[in-house]
Amino acid sequence: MKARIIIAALAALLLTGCENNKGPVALDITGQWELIGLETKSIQIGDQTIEVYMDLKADNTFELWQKLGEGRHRKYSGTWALTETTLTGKYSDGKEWGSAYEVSLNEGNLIMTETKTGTETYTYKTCVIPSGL
Amino acid sequence: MIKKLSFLGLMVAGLALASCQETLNEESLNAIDARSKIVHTRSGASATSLLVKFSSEPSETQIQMLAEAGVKSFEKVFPSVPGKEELEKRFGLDRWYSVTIEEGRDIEAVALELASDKRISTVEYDIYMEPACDRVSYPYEGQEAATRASMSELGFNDPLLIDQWNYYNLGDKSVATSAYEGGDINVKDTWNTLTAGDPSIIVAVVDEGVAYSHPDLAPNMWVNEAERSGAAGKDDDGNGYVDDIYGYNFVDGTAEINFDGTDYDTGHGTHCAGVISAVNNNGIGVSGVAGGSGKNDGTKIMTCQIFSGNGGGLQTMISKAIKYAADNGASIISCSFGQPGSGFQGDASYTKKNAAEVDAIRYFEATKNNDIVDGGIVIFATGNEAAPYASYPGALNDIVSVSAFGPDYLPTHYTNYGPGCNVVAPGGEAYLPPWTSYKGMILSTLPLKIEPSGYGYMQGTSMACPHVSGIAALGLAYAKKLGKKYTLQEFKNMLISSANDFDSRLNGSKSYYNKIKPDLNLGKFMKKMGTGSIDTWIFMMKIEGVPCLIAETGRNQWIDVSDYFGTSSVNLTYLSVEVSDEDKAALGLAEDPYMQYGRLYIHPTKMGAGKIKVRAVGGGEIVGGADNVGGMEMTQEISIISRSFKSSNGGWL
Repeated sequence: MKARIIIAALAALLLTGCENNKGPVALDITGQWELIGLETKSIQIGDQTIEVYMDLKADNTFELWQKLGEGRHRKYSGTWALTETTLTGKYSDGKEWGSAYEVSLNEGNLIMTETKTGTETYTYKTCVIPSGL
Repeated sequence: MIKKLSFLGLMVAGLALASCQETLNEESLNAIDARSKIVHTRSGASATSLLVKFSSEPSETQIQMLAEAGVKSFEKVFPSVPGKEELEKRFGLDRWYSVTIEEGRDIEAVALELASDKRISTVEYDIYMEPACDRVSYPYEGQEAATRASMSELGFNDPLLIDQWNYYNLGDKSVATSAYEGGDINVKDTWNTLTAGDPSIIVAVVDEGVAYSHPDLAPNMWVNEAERSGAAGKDDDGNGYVDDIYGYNFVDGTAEINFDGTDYDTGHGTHCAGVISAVNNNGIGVSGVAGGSGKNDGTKIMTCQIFSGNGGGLQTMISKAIKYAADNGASIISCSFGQPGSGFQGDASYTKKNAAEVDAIRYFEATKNNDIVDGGIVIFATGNEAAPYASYPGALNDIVSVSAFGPDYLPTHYTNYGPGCNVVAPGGEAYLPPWTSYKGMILSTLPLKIEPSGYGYMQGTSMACPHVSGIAALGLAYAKKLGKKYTLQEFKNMLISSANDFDSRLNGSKSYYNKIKPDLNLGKFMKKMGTGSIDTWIFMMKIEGVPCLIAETGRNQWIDVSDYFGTSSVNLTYLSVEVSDEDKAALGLAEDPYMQYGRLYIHPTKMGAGKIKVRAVGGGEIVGGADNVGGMEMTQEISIISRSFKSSNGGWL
């Protein structure tokens, strides 16, 4: 019985290896995310806090709630696309995102580095987006 | 003549005797020095009353001597209220006295004699002010409209709300062929989603008496419970006034408020009160800006009667009314009156000539009657003389002064404009084609004896003023809900900068039905209508808090600041842009940011965040001051985040 399990596990590894040989594994970044960091900077600005929640849905639509400092959460929506590790998107008003992002997953966090200058990295953690935003 | 001299002689003797008893070396001033203490002239003033201010509080003996010297009455202008003594002293209200003389006496001689006494610093003729309205009302006539909002759209079930274009202007051509969709105060969404008022907020209507029993106002009237449940004829609450249940009649010196048309009342106060807080969603009549949602949550109206038909309007009455409002819980005073064609050169000359009233205004501004703002908010009409400046006292630098637009979202033929005007609101306008109804004016409540239906139309900056008072009340209500707190200056800054662009429509001229009035040249109003047209929703969003603006790192760029200064920010005059060294470093600013064409120019060189303080003039090109008439200084602190990119719609991604 033990031997059978080991064989199955090895087979699985081999299969995975075969897939790896065919190309990179597609990242699964669907789900609900909360911004928790700007590179190494705090998301606290003076006495104001930046709150960003995004829901990247499986049908390649997204919803975004942001509160930059004061005021209410403002909601945006639109579509997103992931080509290998490059994430792009468009708002529902037809405007492109301000930048594309190179994305990766690290210990469950979504790491997004903007491609315009490559100097700013944003970290999102998985979350349940609060209701009533 | 002999009688007059003997009266004066007695009075002077009284003063001299008092001098001898109080300060032995006191001497009377010469006539020139004495005259310099007299402000105004007998023209346009009461023939029987004067206001005098002592340099220090007079003794009982001095007062008694004057009272016995032939003056008909000599009494304190302002009753002292327990617990308010320190504030009263700070603004000198304890030293103001009202002198009444017999009819037929030479008031100029009396004024000179009083001014000759060194203990008296000011002798003020008790001048009249006028309502900022033509004092004519027109009946409501239910008429079919070409374009009307549905009741469900408007949110409230008040049947006449559909004729209140001032709240929701759909460009109905039966109101005016030039009616402009969106030319309103944009209050609908605030009502439906944020707030419609709060009963803890009291607005004092300083005006003709308010018809407190009007069915569309009664539930929103402020009630002095101590007096209502107290003994008749007794000052139960010790505020200096007897039986004052809904306010006070300062014209007749009684708690009986007049509003029923028996003394040529026009319904002016009742009309203004309806704009502020007619009861909403009660299935009858009109809506008020801050009249609640039909759940006993409307802003309360206090009636401070200073006009009674053709009477009233004296400085004494106004000053007393303003202090009364402060002492009895009002957070806002709505004042649709002023000195027409006042022609003052600046605040100093007005303050010198109307010191009792200005002292009372300062006292009101220093009185905190809610947990939101640390002082009272004073709102005035700019006046109806089509003058290129605001009338005083509205033109005073620290007062919000309101000009008027019509259903065409254009200046009205009567509105004052220019220096001293802070913001513009609906005041209504007659004679706009097709002129088949009165609907171009403002529909509100009227006393039943004046209009049996209880509703009718009026026009004037008098009607524009209570719109802003109502919006200010909504702001207090919403801030209370959110737990926000402000200084008085911060709150006024937010209020007058919550405005929409108005200047872009000021091209060419506008015409009136059958040329009843000459065409109105619109160009003359350019940059002279304050910060623009007041917008309730923008104000509420400011109370929620204005989000940080995004700047792009590494680029010299301009940033739209309309979230802070309104959509007419391009038309404002900016005084300075300040940024601390710390914030400069945080944003990596290589050069100082500046304002041009209503935009903030900034060049951040690194990712970061900081705050930039921008000072602007709220109405006009210069800030009003002692020696000039001008706008109110507005300071906004703009929060900036610098990133390497930004999306064109403000989205974070």
